[in-house]
Amino acid sequence: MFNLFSLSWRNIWRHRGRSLMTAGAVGLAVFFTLVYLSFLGAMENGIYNNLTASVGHLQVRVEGYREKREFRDLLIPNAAQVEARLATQTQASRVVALEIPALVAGETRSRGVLLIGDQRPPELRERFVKQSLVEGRLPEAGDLDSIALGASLARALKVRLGDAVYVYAPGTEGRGAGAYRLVGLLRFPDPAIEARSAYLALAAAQELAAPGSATRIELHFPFTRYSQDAQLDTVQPALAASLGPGLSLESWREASPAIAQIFNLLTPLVLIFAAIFFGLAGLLVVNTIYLGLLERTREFGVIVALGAGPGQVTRMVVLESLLLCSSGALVGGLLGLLTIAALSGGFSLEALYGEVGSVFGLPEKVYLSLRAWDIPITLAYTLLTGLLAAWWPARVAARLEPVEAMRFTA
Amino acid sequence: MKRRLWLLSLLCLGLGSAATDPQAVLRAIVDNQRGGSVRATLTLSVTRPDRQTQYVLEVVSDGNERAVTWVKAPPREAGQAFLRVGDNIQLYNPTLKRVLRLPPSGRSDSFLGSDLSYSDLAGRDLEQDFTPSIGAETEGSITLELIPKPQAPTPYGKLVLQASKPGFVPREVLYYDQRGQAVRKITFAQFAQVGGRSFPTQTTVEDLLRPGHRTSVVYSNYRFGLAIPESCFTVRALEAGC
Amino acid sequence: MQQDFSSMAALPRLAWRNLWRHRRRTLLLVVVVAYATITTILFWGVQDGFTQSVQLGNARFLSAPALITTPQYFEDPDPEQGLPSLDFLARIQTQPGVNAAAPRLEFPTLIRSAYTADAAKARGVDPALEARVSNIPTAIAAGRMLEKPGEVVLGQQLAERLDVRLGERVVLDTSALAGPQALGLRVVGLVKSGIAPVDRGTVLVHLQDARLLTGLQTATGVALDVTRGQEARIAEALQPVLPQNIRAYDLTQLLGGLSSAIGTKQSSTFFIGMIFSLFAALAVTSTVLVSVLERTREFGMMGAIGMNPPRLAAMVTLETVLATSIGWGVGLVLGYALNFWMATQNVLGPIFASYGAAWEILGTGGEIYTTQSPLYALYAALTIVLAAFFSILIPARRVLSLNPAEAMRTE
Repeated sequence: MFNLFSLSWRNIWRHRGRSLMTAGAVGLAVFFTLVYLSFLGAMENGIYNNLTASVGHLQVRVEGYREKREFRDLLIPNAAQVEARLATQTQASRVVALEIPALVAGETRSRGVLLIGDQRPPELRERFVKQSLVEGRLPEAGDLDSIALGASLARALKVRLGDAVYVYAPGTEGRGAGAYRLVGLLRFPDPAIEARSAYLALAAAQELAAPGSATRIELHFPFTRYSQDAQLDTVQPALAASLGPGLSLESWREASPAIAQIFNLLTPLVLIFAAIFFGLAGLLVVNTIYLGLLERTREFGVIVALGAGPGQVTRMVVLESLLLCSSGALVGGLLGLLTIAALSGGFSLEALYGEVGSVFGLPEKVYLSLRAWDIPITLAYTLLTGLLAAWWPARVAARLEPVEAMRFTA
Repeated sequence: MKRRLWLLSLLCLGLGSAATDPQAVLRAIVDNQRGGSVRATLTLSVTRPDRQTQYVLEVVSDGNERAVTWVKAPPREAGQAFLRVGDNIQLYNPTLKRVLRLPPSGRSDSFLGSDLSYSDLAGRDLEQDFTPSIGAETEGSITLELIPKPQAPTPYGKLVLQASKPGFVPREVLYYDQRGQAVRKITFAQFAQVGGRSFPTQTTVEDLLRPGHRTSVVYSNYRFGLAIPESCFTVRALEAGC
Repeated sequence: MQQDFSSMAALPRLAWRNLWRHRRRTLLLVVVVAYATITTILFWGVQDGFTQSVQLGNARFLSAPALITTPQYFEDPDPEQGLPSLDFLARIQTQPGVNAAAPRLEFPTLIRSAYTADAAKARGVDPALEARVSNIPTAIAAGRMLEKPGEVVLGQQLAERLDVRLGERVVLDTSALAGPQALGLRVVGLVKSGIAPVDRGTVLVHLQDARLLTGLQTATGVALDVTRGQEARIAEALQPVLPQNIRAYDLTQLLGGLSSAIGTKQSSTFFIGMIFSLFAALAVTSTVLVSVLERTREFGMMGAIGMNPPRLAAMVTLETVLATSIGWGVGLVLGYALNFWMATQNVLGPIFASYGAAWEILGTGGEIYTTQSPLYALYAALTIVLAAFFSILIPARRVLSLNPAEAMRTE
């Protein structure tokens, strides 16, 4: 009986180059799989951030607003108070909006629009400007005289920057009509939305249609990752309870089910991509280990001839591979996690792609992230593949007649 | 045309109740609803479960396709005016001191948020869109059942119209859905004698499906059959009146 | 010189023979490259196909694969901006790539039941032609498609909200060129597509009724069915045969919001694809490296019988290139075959469908096809180029630095 462990250990050192190769292959597979999965996570994060930026993570609305049709039934009275109360309970940035069905007119033409009185903190405002403003500026907070229109709406009304725009919102609770100066043109991805979008400062919209009221308060949390979405589960009920009667608090999923469904669709795609990658990682590990062992068939023949049983040889090889695979996986995993951790704070691709990136709509910042089960799955998969790749040739070799094995060439 | 209809209905009245022609009865009833050219003050009350809004409107109409409406109260809405000439609707807003022309897609919007539609006030659709039959007839009243003609622009399955005799004065219209359930009721009251017709000066529309949803229109200071100057149906009249 | 040349020519033959001598090793190499090639092709095929299926599905429900209209209407959809004439229709139908053309007249309307009214956008269609450009007729869950004037097909949710049933009458009010007009139409079909805007907003009426209501005697647009995957190109190609001031728009222009939502995903996938290619190349390299390592003794022997290290390295590189090329070829054949299968048979649809009703919202209608593009072969070739580069960088360099005497002693 010989010491299996020390024999394996010695073997590893004897074939230093080959051992390094095997461990390296496993490490590489683990490293790349983790990085790849984290990029899939980044894709999810990117889409999550984009979607929630447009509607907020949580939205305050009047209870049962979907069933209500009349403008005044949709109003959240004392919006400033509601907002102030929310501010004491959460760090989330707040967007307060008042949506008014209105008639907008230029000198000669008029169109029905959804007028939005909008008030948002600087960082969200900057984002909105970057994404939607094509010309001019947004009305400043508190500006009672300025309006921004969808670019195609402005064309339909035949108005240009600096022209007067008349707004008529009958049957509302404010002045019901107002004249404004066109200061900005906006672009929205959906032409139907662009054709009926008009933006005022919240104060101007309130003066026009509903003093002190809003129809929607969005809460934007400083999340960068989809995994943080789970926090809403605890935050939402607590905030909802503090809102008082008549108001409801919806998550982005509830507020825009269509967007939530687009998001859900990612899962099968992510799984297909992950499966494809695992196939490749498996091939890498199998190839390296299998080829490496094939060469040693002759050596196994010698060991068997020296009196070791086939089982012992198999066990020795598997143990050897286990040592190599796990040390490789450990190093690869560690490097992978370090890389991901280093980049998980979000990195900009602008340095890599410059201006081109934004033209193609690449996300501004990439936030790598792994799900909790990504790491154990990757490690287990790689190790199992590696051991299987070792066990098979070792078993074949050990079953060969010693003489045959010694004559074997790959 | 209108005069001829009126004569026709008189003729029908003269024929008495022996062999009642449903078409003629309907015509008579509708004629009562129509007032011809008019100047009047309208009080429009929109009742909802949690509130009531009252508008006071001044109306000048030539009885056909032209009408001007000025909003007098509540103060917040006062000064607004609507001009309808044929299919064109223009509105004047005192805050803007401007006249706006409604875009095609905006014309079917209801601005005052009531349960009334133009056709309810004009009452012309009953003849155009329905085939009448006599439901019941007694000494003092008559009930007509109106079934929509094919492709008629009405969502209702049946209308039951009650009028009092003599004179076929409209009292009540019940609107049934296409499943036989009554969904809407219009009642007429406070009749004024105008040129031999009984004009209902108070019309109440009730939504039978939504309790508490009611709209009533009351005519006051009405003068019928006036010659309305052409200058009333111009954009200038929106701001200056006429 | 002469001898050198002939031996240079002999190198490929030698490399080729080596491939056959180490059959098992070659097989593994071919398998890795083939796998990388197949998956690269499928990766992009699935990715692009998914995006396109979603867009096209949506286009076929919400709009059309391509639409001819005036730029004024495109920016300000009001029947007033309708087409001045439909004379170009006959010319369009014969254009290559145009499978069907259906005039449409869309107009804002107030739709009334006995209980309530709702604003909607009605679409006047030719019942026979519409089915060829739109998926809505196939998504009628109850009743049937329009057959003649006087009928209307509604989205199921819209019908529920109006509380109308099949066979009942609704009223459409509108006001356009003909002034305020109204028509009572009988509900003959209810659409249930799973796409919220469709089920909430569909109002299909006969083109004749739409003309009656709006007073527009032409149409607001002509919807086209064009060859899948070539919408943009065909829309572009139609431009010269269209009258001035009339334009053809493809589905990405018609579906702004959705396209941009998908665009975010698309760009993120780009990196994912890059990592994949890089890793595939490394997998090939590691396989080559192992084979070089284990052949150290063989190389030593060949060095001893007069083959100098540069030529040995050239041979190894050549072997790699040959093996990877075979793998690439095999991968291309299999990959494109598989992709063709998935592009013509609805293989992915059920997979996505198994993730619940969520996917329906994107309007793929249960069908997801991969796309085909010769570009994918190029993407896959990138993997091969990277692999060849790496193998020159690492294994061949190792061969270069071999000392024959030492190498022969290696086990």
